[in-house]
Amino acid sequence: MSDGEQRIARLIEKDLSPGETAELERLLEADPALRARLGAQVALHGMLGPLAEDESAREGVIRRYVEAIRRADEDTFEQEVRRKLRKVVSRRRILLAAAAAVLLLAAGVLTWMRFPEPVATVHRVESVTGGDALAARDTLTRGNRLKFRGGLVELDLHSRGRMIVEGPADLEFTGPMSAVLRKGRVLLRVTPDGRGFRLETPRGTLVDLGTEFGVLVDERTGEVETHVLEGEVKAIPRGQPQPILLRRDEALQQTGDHNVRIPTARDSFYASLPPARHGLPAMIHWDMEASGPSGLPARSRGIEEGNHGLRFFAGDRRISPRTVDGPFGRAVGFDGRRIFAESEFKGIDGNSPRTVAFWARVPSDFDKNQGFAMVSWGEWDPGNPGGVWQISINPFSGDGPVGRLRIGVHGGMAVGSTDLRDDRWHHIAVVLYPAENPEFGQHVLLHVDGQLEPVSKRLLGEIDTSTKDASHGVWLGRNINIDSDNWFFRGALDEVYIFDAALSQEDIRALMERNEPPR
Amino acid sequence: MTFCGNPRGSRHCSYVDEKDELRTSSAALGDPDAFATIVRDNQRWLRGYFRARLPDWAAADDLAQDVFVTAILKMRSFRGESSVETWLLGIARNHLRNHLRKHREQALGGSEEIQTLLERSCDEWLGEERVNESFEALATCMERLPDMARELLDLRYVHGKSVREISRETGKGYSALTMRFHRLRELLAECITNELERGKA
Repeated sequence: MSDGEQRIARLIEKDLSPGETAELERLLEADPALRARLGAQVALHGMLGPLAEDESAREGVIRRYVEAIRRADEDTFEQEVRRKLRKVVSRRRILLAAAAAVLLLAAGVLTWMRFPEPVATVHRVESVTGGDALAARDTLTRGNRLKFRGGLVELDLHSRGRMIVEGPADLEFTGPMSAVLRKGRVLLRVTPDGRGFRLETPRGTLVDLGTEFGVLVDERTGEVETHVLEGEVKAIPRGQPQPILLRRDEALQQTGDHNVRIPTARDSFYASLPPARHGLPAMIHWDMEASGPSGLPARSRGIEEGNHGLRFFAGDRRISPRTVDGPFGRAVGFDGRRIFAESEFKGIDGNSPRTVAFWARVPSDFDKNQGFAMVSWGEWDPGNPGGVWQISINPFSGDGPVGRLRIGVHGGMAVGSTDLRDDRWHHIAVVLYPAENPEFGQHVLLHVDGQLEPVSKRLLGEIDTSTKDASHGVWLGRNINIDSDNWFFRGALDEVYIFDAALSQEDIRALMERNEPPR
Repeated sequence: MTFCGNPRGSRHCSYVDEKDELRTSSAALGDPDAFATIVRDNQRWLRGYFRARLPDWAAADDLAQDVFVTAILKMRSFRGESSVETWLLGIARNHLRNHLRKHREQALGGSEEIQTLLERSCDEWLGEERVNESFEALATCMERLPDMARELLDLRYVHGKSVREISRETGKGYSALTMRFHRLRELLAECITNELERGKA
């Protein structure tokens, strides 16, 4: 590829320095053929999005345009009415002026009611429950109230920025540049056009000064926390005249009349939603039906050939697994003392999106030494904290409530909310995806029994799982931390799946309800 | 939809087909349904026009909306001397010029000189009358691409991810991906040209 073409490719990605742009300009002036190629490249760059979008996206755009046109037409009509009314006023003086004012007001109110101003568009909806039906491309207008019990909604504030709302949430848009957050977590990423966006909370007002910040409103305690991730925010506490300026990495906790500066929790908010799945994901599945000492076969799709079956061990000795009744056929029991399973499949590498789904039964007399780990892989290396990850039952009260689902990397964890210590089968699905900005933001979704799990404790750093040089494959029932005393999981597992993509809630429910992977 | 003139020749058509005429006259009388049809027929290429020139696609789509709003307000002054497309394109050029006057930093080309060259190059490639036809040709060409290439284009153009984001997600190198997109666009551009030539024959 010629130098000129390489520069065109980078120009399209806005990746040229001023010097390189000037050089490209010179090349284009001198070479009509290169100019033609620039024309084709740029035109295609513009055409591909509108061409490839699906029908619902296209219809959403058309609907938005037609609404804007109707509004503009209505405004013109209203202006015409105003003009005519002015003539009437001049003739009939005060009495008719009053009537005209009423008419104008009514016309204004009617217009406002019929054509309220769109302030945001729903960009993505992830596992939302307990609220009005929401779908991508839905338009929110002034006065719209977004209320839902659980899940995540990503909103496009048009040119003003983006917002990710985490349930349980209650958010009302009072205008294109203002909203009221009564409950929930919100991450707001504001563009220069949105500078000055005001977010009202029960404890006061937050005014954006060109930034990215997260706000948590806890309805139960009345507490409000504001965490500034980039830029600056002005906090105006209710009833207090003096605003508080918060800068990057500063946070404010507001309780009653108290305003306390606290450390920023950079992992407390979802900064992005998982990437949508394209095509069929590669997967591996262990159904946990009965097997002999030779192991339990794997079903796989799109994964490099190999013997990926599970071999069961008690310490160093190969054994036949102890099977118990599971949600789908038989399941395998783990004794919490020395039994575990290993596959030659090394797991998903790096920070690639992944979903791990399985059924787990945890005893009601769960012992904190028997929580690690249901599923784990990677290579344990104290010098590489993100190199391993594992799915466990949280045994440490200091890390969050005990008995809840726990996703851990060395030095970080996210802990769910549902107590799993009840001798019953629960369907677990963990979706992990690359962080948009590894410096902050949550990037893991926990599903328990088909519902997105509120995460009670979050402190999950970047995950970069090392599988290439790992000395072992995926483990079931064994702690990945070889320096730990808590070695093995006690309980039972069934229908274990690993996918190389972020599955949707619908996909996860199909696994839970019908044991049916995406197809 | 009827287009007139040589695809690389005259830019100004003086012919409007009967359907267009009916639509525009109904729209001029304030029939919103008639205008909705005009939106449906033209939104794709108009958005493509702005997206080719502005890296912020949300702003590009907003500008396309502004074109339609301006069009309905000026509908009564539309005399039918040119096609609807040419008329809309004229409005679009004005909106783009005004937008870039205020937000020069948002132009794809960056400097004014390169933006002028970019405009000229785009016009030279197909000619404005064939925008809708070229979309049809592009749809045909896309079907011929292998699944993997289509999925890659989906990530960039449907999901709106930047090449850096795709690089992070797929683990592929940023430079290699930038060149891969370049080659795919080149392939599609050649295919469109061939398709249009075939149609002409």
